Amino acid sequence: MKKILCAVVVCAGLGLTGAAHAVDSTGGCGLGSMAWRGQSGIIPQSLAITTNGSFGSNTFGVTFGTSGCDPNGRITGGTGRMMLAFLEDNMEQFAMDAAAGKGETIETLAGIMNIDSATLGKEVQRNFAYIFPNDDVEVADVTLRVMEVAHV
Amino acid sequence: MLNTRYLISFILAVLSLTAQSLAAEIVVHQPDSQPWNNIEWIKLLHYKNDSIGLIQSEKFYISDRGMIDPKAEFEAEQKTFNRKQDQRKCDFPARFKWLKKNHYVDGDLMNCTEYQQFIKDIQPQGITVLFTNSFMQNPASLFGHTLIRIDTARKGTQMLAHGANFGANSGTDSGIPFALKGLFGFYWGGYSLNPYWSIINHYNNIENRDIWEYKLNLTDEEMKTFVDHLYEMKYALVQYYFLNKNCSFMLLELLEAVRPALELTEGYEYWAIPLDTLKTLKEVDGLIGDVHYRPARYTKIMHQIEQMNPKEYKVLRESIKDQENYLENLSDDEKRNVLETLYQYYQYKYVAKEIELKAYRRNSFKILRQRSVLSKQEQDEKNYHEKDPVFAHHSFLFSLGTGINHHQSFESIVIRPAYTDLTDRTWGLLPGASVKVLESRWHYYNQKHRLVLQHFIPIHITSLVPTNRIFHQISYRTEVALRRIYDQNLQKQGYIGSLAFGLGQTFELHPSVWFYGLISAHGNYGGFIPHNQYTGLAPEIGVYNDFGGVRLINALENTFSSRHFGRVLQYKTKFSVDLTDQLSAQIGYTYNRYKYGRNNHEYGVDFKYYF
Repeated sequence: MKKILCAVVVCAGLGLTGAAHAVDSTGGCGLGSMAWRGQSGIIPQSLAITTNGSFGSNTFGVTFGTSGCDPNGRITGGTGRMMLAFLEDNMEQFAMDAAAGKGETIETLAGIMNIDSATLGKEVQRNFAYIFPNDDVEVADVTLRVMEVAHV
Repeated sequence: MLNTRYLISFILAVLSLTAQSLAAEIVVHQPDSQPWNNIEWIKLLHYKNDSIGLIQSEKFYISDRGMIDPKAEFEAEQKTFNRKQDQRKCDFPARFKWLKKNHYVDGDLMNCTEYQQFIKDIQPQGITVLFTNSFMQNPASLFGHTLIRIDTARKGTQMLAHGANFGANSGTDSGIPFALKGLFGFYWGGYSLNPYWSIINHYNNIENRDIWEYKLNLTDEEMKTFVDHLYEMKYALVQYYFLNKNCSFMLLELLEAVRPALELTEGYEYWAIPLDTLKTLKEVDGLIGDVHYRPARYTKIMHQIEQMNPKEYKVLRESIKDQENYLENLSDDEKRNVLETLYQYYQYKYVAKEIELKAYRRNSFKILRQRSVLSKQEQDEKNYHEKDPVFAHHSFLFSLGTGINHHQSFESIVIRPAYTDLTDRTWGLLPGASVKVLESRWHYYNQKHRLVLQHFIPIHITSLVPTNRIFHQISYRTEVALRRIYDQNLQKQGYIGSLAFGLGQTFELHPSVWFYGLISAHGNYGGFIPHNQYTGLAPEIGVYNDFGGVRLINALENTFSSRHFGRVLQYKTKFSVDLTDQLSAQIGYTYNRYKYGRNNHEYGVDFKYYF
């Protein structure tokens, strides 16, 4: 595992609490707090179909089958792939923003989808129970349903 | 006729201007006789004074001798980049563009697929320096951390920007081996790139550290060079040293590469504390533009709690206790406040591994359902009373003072390379945190004409974190020290080395009045004492007042010890006033009541200068 360390911490040498600034950096994927990341890890074919090839990755389904994360740590690809990558890492915040009808994640998604963020906010709040039907919802389903309620 | 004359003079004027500008162009195009010594090129390749490259990976250079020979590298680049089909130029867009601008090479980067994709993904619009401050329970992180954000022109928000982080590749090492290797340069450091949203998650949500965003005022060309240069840095490996070849040093290196006139790395030869480097940037006229603050999750929760009315607070506490949300008697606004705070609370607990995934999901989902049926709340501006760390006190302390100890007058000197103490100004730092590195205190006794070392503290950490009814926080202290003590029986002074560790709790009676209790255990060793090893146990209570420009600390400590001279009741008070940004005055009084021997009073005044 690759770790990142910084911060000038002499006391790290003494083994004090958390003094060593070591951090998991697997290229933007799997930071650990994401309790709602898709459990099965397989993106349904329907997502690829819905987005109509806008993933911008011709290796979709081969290397991209388990995650929207880019190995170079970059935001890349078309609308669907970007939405998925974004929601994978920001599901918690998006769930609250969707319930509240506003917030930074809604503004960001609206930017990715190229639609008005107030409209998106209204739609996701109105359709909250549809987008989040239960507490073990999969990120791929959330992505699809957000697209659906926003008519993208 | 008149018109013709005007026309002729006009044409002549145009011709002469053109000639002048052509002449100017020709001067510019005159190749340097030694272009490899051009400061712009030298800084772009990070050659140091002795012409040896800071970057120690062969891939960063075209020539085999590139790392040690700027001339060979320049010639190799000129030759390679001029070959039409050679793709090596694609790896070094900043260098290529510089060489092209100065007419050393021809061609373009149009066929560089990977580089073009990089620019397309990043969509650069600006450069922002990120500073992440300390997180609770870890005052060591007070030194902070710096990263770079490439702002994006993408629609939406800057969550879609990218952050570049310089760190050491430490493999699976952790703890002491990791720290020692980091100190002594056993790791390779390099850059990694991530979407800004994952940087936010990492620092704000997982480590609970605030993020400060400092937009840099760069010209469009500088901004592009920065991005191109960052792209080149993917091949850059630097021998990583915790103290001076770290994230912050490298940030200064990058900025010097895009604006060679800056001399930022000067003075950071031995250590580069992130907060200090941030101040260096601030000192460059007009370099730092807009500043934006992103509170950590814990900051948000505590802020929301502070804003709550008693009814909301009570419901919040009971809901946490029973894991059941009691919203019946609340207004819609109150419900929103409680639910949004509760949601953040469960996320915090889940990240801290204090609740299971199942309970987390169940509780969160219930909150979301309840929140989603309430209407949207209009934008409420949240004032966090944030304090820009750029204006925190400087880290190096030099203090001069005078005092009386046991009827002997003395002058005192304190030297502390880093970083802060409870008596210092807390603006922009973590209140209640004290981190001292390599502090020494010297007294010159006037009657005896002797200069003595009173104490030397390699490392001292105190972390006072107020506990509350939602979060139970532990306060602690740890110290390694060498102190001069007086053995009353032997009538002799000497040094003891000591290791101490203490735990306790802090209570906030008022935002500027904290009450704390700590119990410390310490082990001591002193060569001059007959039975030279002893241990101690010391309960301490104290009141810490921080009124901004004025601070007052009162502490009472009783030490039980396995040796007679270790048994002592100590009362300490220290009162500090800030005189300027860099100067403060401190009055102190210490009373030691020994179990055996004479009691001792010490009074002192210190003038503390931070730079």
